[in-house]
Amino acid sequence: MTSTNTATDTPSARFTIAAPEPATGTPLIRLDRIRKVYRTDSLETTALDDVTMEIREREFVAVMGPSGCGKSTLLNVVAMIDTVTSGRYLLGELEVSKYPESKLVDLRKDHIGFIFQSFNLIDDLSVYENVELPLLYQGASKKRRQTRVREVLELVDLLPRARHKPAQLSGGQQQRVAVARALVGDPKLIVADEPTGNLDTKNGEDVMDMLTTLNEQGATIMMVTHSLVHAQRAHRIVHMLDGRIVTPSESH
Amino acid sequence: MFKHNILTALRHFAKARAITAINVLCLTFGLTCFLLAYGIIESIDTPDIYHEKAARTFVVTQRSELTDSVALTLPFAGRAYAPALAADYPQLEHVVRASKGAEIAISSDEVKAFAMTAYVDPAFLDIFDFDFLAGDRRNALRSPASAVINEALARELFGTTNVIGTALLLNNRETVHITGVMKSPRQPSHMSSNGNSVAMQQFQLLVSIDAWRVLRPDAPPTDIERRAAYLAMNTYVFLLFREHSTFTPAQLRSDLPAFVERHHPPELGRTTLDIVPASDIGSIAMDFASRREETGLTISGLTLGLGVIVLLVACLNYANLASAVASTQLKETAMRRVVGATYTQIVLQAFLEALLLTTLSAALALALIPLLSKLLEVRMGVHLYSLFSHSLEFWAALAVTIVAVAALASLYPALVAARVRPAQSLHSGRTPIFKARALRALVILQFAAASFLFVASRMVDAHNDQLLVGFAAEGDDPTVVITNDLKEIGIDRRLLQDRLAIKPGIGGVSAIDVPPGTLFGPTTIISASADPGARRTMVVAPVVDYDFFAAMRIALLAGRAFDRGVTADVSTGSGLGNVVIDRTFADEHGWTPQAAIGQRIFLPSGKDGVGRSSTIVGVVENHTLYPAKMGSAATLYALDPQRVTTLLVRIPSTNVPQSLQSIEDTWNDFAPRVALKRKFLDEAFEQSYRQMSGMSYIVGFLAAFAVVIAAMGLIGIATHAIGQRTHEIGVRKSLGASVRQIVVMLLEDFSKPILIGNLLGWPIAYAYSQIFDSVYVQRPSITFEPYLESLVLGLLVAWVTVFHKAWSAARVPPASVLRHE
Repeated sequence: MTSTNTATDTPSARFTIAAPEPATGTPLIRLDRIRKVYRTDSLETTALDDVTMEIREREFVAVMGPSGCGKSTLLNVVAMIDTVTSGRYLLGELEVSKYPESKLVDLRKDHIGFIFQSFNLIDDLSVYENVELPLLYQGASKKRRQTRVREVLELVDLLPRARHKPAQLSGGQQQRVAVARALVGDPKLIVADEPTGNLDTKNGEDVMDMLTTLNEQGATIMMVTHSLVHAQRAHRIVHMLDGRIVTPSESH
Repeated sequence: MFKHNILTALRHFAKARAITAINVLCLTFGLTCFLLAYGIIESIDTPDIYHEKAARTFVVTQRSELTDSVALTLPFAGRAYAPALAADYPQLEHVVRASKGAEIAISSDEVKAFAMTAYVDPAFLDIFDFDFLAGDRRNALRSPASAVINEALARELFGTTNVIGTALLLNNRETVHITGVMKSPRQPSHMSSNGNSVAMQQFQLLVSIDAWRVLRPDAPPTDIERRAAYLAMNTYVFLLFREHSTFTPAQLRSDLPAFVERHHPPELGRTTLDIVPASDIGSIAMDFASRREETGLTISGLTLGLGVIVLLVACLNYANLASAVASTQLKETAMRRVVGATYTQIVLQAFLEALLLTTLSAALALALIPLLSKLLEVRMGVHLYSLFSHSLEFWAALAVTIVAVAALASLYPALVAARVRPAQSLHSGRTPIFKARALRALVILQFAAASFLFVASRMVDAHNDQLLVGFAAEGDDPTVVITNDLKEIGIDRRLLQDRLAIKPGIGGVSAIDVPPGTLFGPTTIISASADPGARRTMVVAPVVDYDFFAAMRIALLAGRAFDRGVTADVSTGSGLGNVVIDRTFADEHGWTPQAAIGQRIFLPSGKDGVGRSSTIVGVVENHTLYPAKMGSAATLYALDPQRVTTLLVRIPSTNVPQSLQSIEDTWNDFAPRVALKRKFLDEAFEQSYRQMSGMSYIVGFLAAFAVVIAAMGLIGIATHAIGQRTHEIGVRKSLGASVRQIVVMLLEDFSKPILIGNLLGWPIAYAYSQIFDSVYVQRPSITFEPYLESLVLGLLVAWVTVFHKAWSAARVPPASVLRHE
């Protein structure tokens, strides 16, 4: 990704480059009959029940559904921060469903960027340090870290705030830091879990503009949202109910 | 990445300042106790390693199998072996005798006093390197009747160290001349000049061995004196091997059985000689004190074990608090996992934080130790800090200890934090990763260890107190013990005794061989029957005079006391006369006091033979004369007016100063140039008590530390646990719970781990106290007091530390908590 200043003054306006390729790329992620069951001593909860879906490269997928339908679980599984109980998960040609956590960590840090509803910035670290974190875990050199962090902070228009702590930023600014952190490692897939859930309308729109622009520039995005307005920015909306993917008519 | 880890660690410390401070404090306490224990062991186990010839210096040890169950190995050997060793093994550079330091009367023109004196062969100064202020440090004892005086004693007696050539009269008989002035032996050492209670060898005066009267007896030695030459525990025999010699210690060791065969009188029973490095003297003595052969324990092991326990409590405390802090950092940990931190990186971060705090704590502990070592020096005569400053091994061991403590302390919180499931922690922050049960288990273990140490220290105190209880039974009139060696001084004991008896202010005078209050009294082996294979036991066997039981007011239960009209009562060198036993002796043989009268007891001759027998003529009430025992607590009294040299003078309590003056005046009539050495019997017991109280002091000290650590840990846990229950408290209050009910609920929750911890610690403390029983004559009756005290103290500590937090939490308005949620 490269950055080019435009006449408008919004952070998302910085994300303009060459015309995007159509969202008809090869499958980046394939889920085949995925089940996720949570077990405690006395209870068994099926969060995902026989989920089969694909996400293609450069696709923007929105996932919608009522509370408790398994949207976040699906997101966690796709982002490899949770494991599956059964089924197959292919990342490109790699079948990662049986990978141990140690291998998933390696894949995650190289391929996935995650944006959370509640930002999940580390309060003790500055903006710069929060964004730098994924590169540290990738083992990037100091020079590369400095260069890349500056790039993404410029992209989200927060370079002047690099030394600030998260508590000194507004909600919208914190989410932009989270976006920068998700981008800094050049991930193949950006996963966003209700990225506008804790933001006011204007800030929410700004974040959506950023995501849309990133997608136009070639990023693959999977987003969970309650907002139909925001979901309509995606190429495709996937509806879920009771752990299953349903057609729009079945979700009502 | 390392810089990031350090910065992260510092940020975590700053964020949880109070808990970080508690952790540092607790680790400092734990490390201090551990290092002190280590230093004590080093001091005891490796003395005298700084002498130039230390590597070539060995000491002869002697093992005597006294009964089927009692054997002694001590770093002493019969003095008679030394000339034989020198003759049989000319390859040795030196064979040197050194008598065990004993207090003798010394006087010069101006002074009369007592000094701890050791008689040594001249080459003693070749083997050991002492610092001299005056005189030739290698040859000061080569001339006959020469003496080397300790600097402090010289100043005390003469006000100066310029005393070369001064004449000293020893025990009113022997004149020696001072040829050297030396400083106190460098510590740690098995030798000391200042009453150091750990050092085995104490001397303020070294005298050339030609002046040792026991080597120049006035008359042919009696059987007892001959026995003493081969079996008495009062002589060190040091061997110096030649440098680069082909004759090795291993070779000598292998030939010692044959040497014993050649030189040991068979009628004296079986004995075994061995040689060990002289630096092992301390550990051998400690093994004897802990009765290692019977208990399997060593003082070193016990001390180090106690230090490890306190350190373990500190580690558990850290684990508990670190887990509590980590549970508030779950989201951060989860986020780090999401962005790529591996399991190993999370674990290493936790380990690094523990390592930083442990290193800081170790530095603080090293700063504390010089202060504490002074205390230990005064109470126990143990010198610590000099070890630390020049022992590379110590610094390496410390580094390993720091790493091990950091690893152990961070293990649980690190492993559990690393297993954080990002999905759970990020989406529902209250997921309890750290199971409450596991944290509770850590608190239980902490209090179990603290309870064990507390109960153990109270048990040891009770044993020591029993010494004074046992002694106090003698009644109101005090007994003065005159411990001058009358035979050595040349005073007729009977004459002195008769003169004292008629003096005003004197209630009664008697005599005994070994002064009461001495830690271990005289013993003998007896056999149940004439059968050579019969079971043998070791009993306390003091030798007394006719007036002993009356003067000491020991009640007669059956039969009679010794009678001047009955010659068969008198024991001589060739046989034991009639004997009087105590109640315990009768009980152990299944006799009532009346049934014991007329019974015979048998004294073995050698390991397999039975030599002599005696008749019991009287049974008296139990009376503790000596605090510690080596075999049975039963006492068998024999009569031998020739052998009793210690006078016991009972004086009425109504005018003690007058009575003491009578004693002093009478003494001066007999020996004007010899200072009277006297003490009250309770003082004698107290001195022995102080010797035994060293262990009690250590255990009590460590127990206090453990309780403090556990208490401080509880503060941290309470802060965290109560904080985690804020929501629950808000809900309860909204449902009607009062502040009092909330506080009681929280206190009850914190009381359970204390109770369980105590129940775990008590059986171990009980087992520990049983070990002490094997050493003491008087066993305190088993009470539940120490156990209850431990529980009450633990609960009190818990309630005091938790109450404030509980009270504050209980008073928060529920609306504010629930609104926040």
